[in-house]
Amino acid sequence: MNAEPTRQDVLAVDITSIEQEWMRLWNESIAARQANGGHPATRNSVLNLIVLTQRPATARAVERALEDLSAHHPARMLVLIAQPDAPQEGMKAWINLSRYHQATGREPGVCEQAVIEASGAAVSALPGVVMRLLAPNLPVYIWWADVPLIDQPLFERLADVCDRMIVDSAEFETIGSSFQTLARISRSRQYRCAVSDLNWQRSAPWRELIAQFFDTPVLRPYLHTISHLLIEYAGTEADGRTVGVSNPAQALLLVGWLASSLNWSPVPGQQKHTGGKYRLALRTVDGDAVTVEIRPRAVETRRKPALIKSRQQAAEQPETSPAWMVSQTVAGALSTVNIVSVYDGHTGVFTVRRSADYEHATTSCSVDGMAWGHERTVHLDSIGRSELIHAELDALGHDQPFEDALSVAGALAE
Amino acid sequence: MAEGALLTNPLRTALRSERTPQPCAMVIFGATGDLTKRKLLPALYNLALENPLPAGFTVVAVARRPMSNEDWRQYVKDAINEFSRNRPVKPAVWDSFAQGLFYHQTEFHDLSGYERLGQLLHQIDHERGVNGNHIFYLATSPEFYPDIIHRLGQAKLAHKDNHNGGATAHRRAGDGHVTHSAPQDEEHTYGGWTRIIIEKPFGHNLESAKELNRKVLRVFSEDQVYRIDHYLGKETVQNIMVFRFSNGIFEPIWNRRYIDNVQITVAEQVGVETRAGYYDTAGALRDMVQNHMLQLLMLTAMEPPVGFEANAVRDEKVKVLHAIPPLDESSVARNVVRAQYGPGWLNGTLEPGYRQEPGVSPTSTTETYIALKLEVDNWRWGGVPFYLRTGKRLAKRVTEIDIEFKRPPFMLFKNTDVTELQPNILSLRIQPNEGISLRFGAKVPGSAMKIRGVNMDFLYGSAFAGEAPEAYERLLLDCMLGDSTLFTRRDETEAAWLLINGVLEDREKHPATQIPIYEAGSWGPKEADALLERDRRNWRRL
Repeated sequence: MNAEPTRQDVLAVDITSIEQEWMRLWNESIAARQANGGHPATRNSVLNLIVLTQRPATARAVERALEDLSAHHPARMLVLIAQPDAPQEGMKAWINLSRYHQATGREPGVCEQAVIEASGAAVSALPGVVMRLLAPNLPVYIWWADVPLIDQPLFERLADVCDRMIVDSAEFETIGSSFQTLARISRSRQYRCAVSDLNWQRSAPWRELIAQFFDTPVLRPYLHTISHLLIEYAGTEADGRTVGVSNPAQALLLVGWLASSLNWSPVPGQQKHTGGKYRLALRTVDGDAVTVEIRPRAVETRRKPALIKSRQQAAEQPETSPAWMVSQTVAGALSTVNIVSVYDGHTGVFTVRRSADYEHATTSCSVDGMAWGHERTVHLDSIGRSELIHAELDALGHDQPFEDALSVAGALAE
Repeated sequence: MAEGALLTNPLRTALRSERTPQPCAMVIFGATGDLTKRKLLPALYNLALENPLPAGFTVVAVARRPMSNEDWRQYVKDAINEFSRNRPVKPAVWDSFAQGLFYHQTEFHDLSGYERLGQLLHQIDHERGVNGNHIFYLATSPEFYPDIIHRLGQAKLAHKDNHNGGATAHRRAGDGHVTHSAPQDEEHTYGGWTRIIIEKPFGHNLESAKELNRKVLRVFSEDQVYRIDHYLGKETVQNIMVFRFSNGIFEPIWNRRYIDNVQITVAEQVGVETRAGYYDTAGALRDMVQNHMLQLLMLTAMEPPVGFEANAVRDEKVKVLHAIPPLDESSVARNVVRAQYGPGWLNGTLEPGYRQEPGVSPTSTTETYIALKLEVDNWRWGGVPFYLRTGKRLAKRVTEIDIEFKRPPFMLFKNTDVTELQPNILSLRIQPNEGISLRFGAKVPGSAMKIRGVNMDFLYGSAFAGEAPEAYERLLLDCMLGDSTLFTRRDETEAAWLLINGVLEDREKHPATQIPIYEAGSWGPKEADALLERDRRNWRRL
């Protein structure tokens, strides 16, 4: 597929002259505006953003979305299309100055963009190109916009030049090994790189709601005596009765979060999974058993059909972007979390359940089968990729709870 | 299980955001007033919608007019639909939020009404898991504050923190709700904390502020009291401290060696609107200077606190006020300019003068504009004047702090085309177009040596995504979390009144029959210009 950008203001350039060409465009822009009696635009950068994809279609979707990102995170942006399996070896580049709108009445801002396509063995040269084009003294964010090439040398070589590596575990093909690699990178002193995951962010409201149960002091003892956990996640839609298997990364990370927060350890050799269903065994520090069941659940279709799709369907979606940037991944999203705990002879059950419209969640709690407090419904934002990326670009440094959860989830999904 | 394990929620520490407070109930006195309708209710709903509010969060409205819980819920819904930044209400979230809304009718002086309120809170504690965590919000007219505070004390609703509620045994009540074991001491029925938020104005002069503080502290301890000034909830106001203390390059030059003067401007385009009754007795001095403007001054001039926590920050702020000589009769005459707007054109409309506004006496001499020159007499600031100005119906709506640096020596350029060097100016823009700009000199391209001032701008909106929360959202959440950093302490309030008390006394001793008039739509009276011209300076053109 041809990676050439479709926009009119994009200029094909030699890979070695990108910096000079940006400067030339900038000077021309200043001269043109002054000739028309206008003020020069503002050139801003608060970070370097490198977007990686294997698919030209995704690159085009991202490129269109960058204008919106620029308005909030003015950045030098490089979109890299890495196609290691392409038959021909080569590298092509296109550049432009992206204009974004600032507050009303202000001159537009400008930042530099480049799209670089590397095919075949030339993919290995991408880290060198990136290093040459980074704006100095600014943090470097790398965002793998679709399936990350975690098992290829490119991944770790890029980790070596960035401050934050953003992935989306909803895209992972092999969850266990990918989690383990990411956990190793985030822990390693060799890299200064923090790791973050859009899918972890998607489940943030769930972590908050679960934590809220135990803010109430009389319920807090139950947190330390959890014996069973059931997590259901949205499977891909099938015929309304059967459930297609989707990516359980969110569910595994949630278990990882609870385990790392409550000092549970996986029991070696006791983790079983097949066809998207997991039966996991952990132990508390006191040696008590905690069993975890993870399973897919049929998605009810009161939600807009366009947002319920398999990963394969999602992969094709970029062609109709910008829907790709704003859509959220429903397949794999948490549907139900049910926590059972027995404390002092009383059985507490804590439940968070997503509504059929996918926009709300209801929390409830019972003790010995009797309702404790009222059911509560909260809004769950439909967080699209665009908002997730905005939030990630605001973050600095390591997200320790995520990295701890990642380590445990990697061990459980092995 | 270790007992310590029950004191904190380990899941909280593992969340990226730890800003969810414990379950609590907020009791709003003056629940049907304008502030509650426009600010408090929308802020609470926004917090509920965006999820930092805890499960079981409850609002108890206290007011004098009779109303049922159902009517109150409809009132709240209407208020949110009219004033919230997230409107209309989302039905599913609203249903849960509305379950926690209760109305309690009482006269503010009626003790039995507070006793019934106590019973209602007791019931809410158990049914909604609030666990005795209560916030009382005084949003009434200030004349009711003493009565309400006194009655809260009489009804034993002002208990201090008591952390014994966390690990108590529990039993299931007949209605199926788990409750605490029956306590021995009724006063300690609630295992939680009690806080009180008091709206400005906090007194109307030094003596009344002291008297109110005495009354408050007879019932509550200082760490339970949250005196609110919504200016401190603004992101850009909080950024003043971040800007100063998180950047290594500014603090070394933030002193009298490098700074020539500081100008703080709070300019409004609006007139007195519907607040004539209050404003005509308060004037710009009480309405703006005693609270908002002195807060800006303190944040600009304070020393670095030893930590970013409430008392450390407030200790340093209050030292600034103590370092400013209070205005006395002679300094009022020399360093204070009061004025009132007359008719004038603003935004293409001929606006009436203050005395022509509805509800204002045609002979009123209340100031709608005030300019002051203050000195912070300490080692950092000795000799650096702080010029403050605020007014209504001015040319432009702008709140800004301008730090004007000393001019560099001119000798280097004396044989060139340069005739003078402009000072560097660092501007902290609070609103609108929130941001920071630095003016410096740059060479104009060409063979001649010409220098022109250029601005390097940072605009908040272009560097950071997302909608900032309203000031009240931030402050209400802070109070629930027990963080009083952005609230005013007793000594701070009194020091602020002490500082301006001389102006108030001067006004009382020498009631003016005349007051300088400035044209609506202008930048204020010529007397204010003269205040700076006397020092061979000018107000910044904003």
